[in-house]
Amino acid sequence: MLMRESLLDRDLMASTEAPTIAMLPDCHVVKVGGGSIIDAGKLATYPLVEAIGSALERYKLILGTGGGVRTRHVFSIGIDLGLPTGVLAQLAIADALGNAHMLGALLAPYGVVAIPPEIFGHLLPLFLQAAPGVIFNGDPPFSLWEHPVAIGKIPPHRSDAGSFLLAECFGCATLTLIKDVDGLYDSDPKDNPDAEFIDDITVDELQKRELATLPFDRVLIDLLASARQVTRFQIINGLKPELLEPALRGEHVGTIVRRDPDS
Amino acid sequence: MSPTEARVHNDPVLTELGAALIAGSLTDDALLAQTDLHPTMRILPEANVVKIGGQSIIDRGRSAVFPVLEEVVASLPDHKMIIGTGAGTRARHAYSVGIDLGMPTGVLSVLGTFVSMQNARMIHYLLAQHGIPFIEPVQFPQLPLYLSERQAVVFFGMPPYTFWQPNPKVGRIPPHRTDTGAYLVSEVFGTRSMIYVKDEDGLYTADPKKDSNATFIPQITVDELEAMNLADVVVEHSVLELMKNASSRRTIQIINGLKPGNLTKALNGEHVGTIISA
Repeated sequence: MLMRESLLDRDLMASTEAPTIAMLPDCHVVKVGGGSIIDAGKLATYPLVEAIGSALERYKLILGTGGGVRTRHVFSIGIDLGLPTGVLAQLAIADALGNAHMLGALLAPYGVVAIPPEIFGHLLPLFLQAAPGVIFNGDPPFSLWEHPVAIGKIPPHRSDAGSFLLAECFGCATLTLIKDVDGLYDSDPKDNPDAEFIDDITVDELQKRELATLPFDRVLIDLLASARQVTRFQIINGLKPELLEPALRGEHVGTIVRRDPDS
Repeated sequence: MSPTEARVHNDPVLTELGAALIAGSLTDDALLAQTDLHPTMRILPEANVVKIGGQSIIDRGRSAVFPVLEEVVASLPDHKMIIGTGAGTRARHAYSVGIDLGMPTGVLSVLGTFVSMQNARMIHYLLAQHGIPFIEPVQFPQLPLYLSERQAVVFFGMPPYTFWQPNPKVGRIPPHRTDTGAYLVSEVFGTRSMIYVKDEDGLYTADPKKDSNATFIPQITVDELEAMNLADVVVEHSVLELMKNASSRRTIQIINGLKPGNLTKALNGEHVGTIISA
């Protein structure tokens, strides 16, 4: 029926709602924060690397990295020069890739390395048969094709979004975002010592509360709303690396964000 | 201000915006508003993006494709063209088999990319004697050179999202397809125009192939179009969504490529189809 019909037809689209296979249901996607973990140097990174190394004995891990401070810096220069959002997105990939390679060097003793983005997606199942885990630059390959945004110039699909989209497409077991805070608060806990911790929240509630800042890419709210396979993710504090394995087991140790109350 | 923030704000190497971005949260609207500091430059302001429809033009074979390409060639002295290709019938076939087999949206996006690449290769060979190259996303850094040397390039319309293609709200079909990929090229490069070459005069109140009472809409805004809540629109919905946030490309034109002369007129800036603006 698709052959002759318009793909722009709403009713036809509804007819394509069908169950999806999970390609890597035993693998876990873990996003390691650039600004929150790696930029803090060995103090934050070494203990987490040790925890990742120990988790690799029991879990297949797909590790994404963010670009951190260098990405903020290149954004500020690019914006000052008048460059568009798509160019900023293209530039950001290099920073996340740099962090992926540093994490790869630290995890090399475990057989885990950073994979070049050009071959990462297609060869992912093969790599995970050969190694206990892989590392990629968390950014999605949107690059010049990044979406313009309502406010400002910052690319909306950054490394949290890229890690989510990968986990969703491959039907991975869990998605964990490792930051330097315990999870989501009703205001930024770094500015407000009285900020209230939110341990569990749905997309609906997040949209209603309109929190001024979030510890993850704002576009994740929309992406999670359309999730079919990864219908929740958890934010945990990487400064408490002992939380990683419980999070991979599905235990509630940070903030869980759910597509809906049942997910 | 925390000690880190104070240090960042006093760092002589950082611009004011640099300090603000490093210390602040990229989810903070007040900070994001500061990033609108300067107008966005137009990287290729003289180029036009022309998207040649897959099912609407290329799948019809030479009767539809040759006249369009004759106009492209005749326009080479006057216009720079970044030519994107649609996917069409084979993509729909791949989508239908893929959905039946349980493929997720990201895998369907890979399949759609392959089909629009086939079409780009065919268009490229037909234009090869004019020295026009086919470029993949990794070759886009050479785009300015090719445009200045040969006036045109061919690319595949699918945005290179592959496994990272976001899910649609409803169904499995990738929401960002070749209309969107071509549109985003026109937006990021700040081109002169975005022209969609299809097999209808433009936008109608219903699909004119199915409904003889459908009326033609020569000009409309995205807001008006969304208020009409049409079941079937001539361009991908995501193009309309993205236009609302665009920093440079706020209008697109959809033209009928089966009518000789339309593409040339549209390249000359004439209104020959439907113009949608945001």
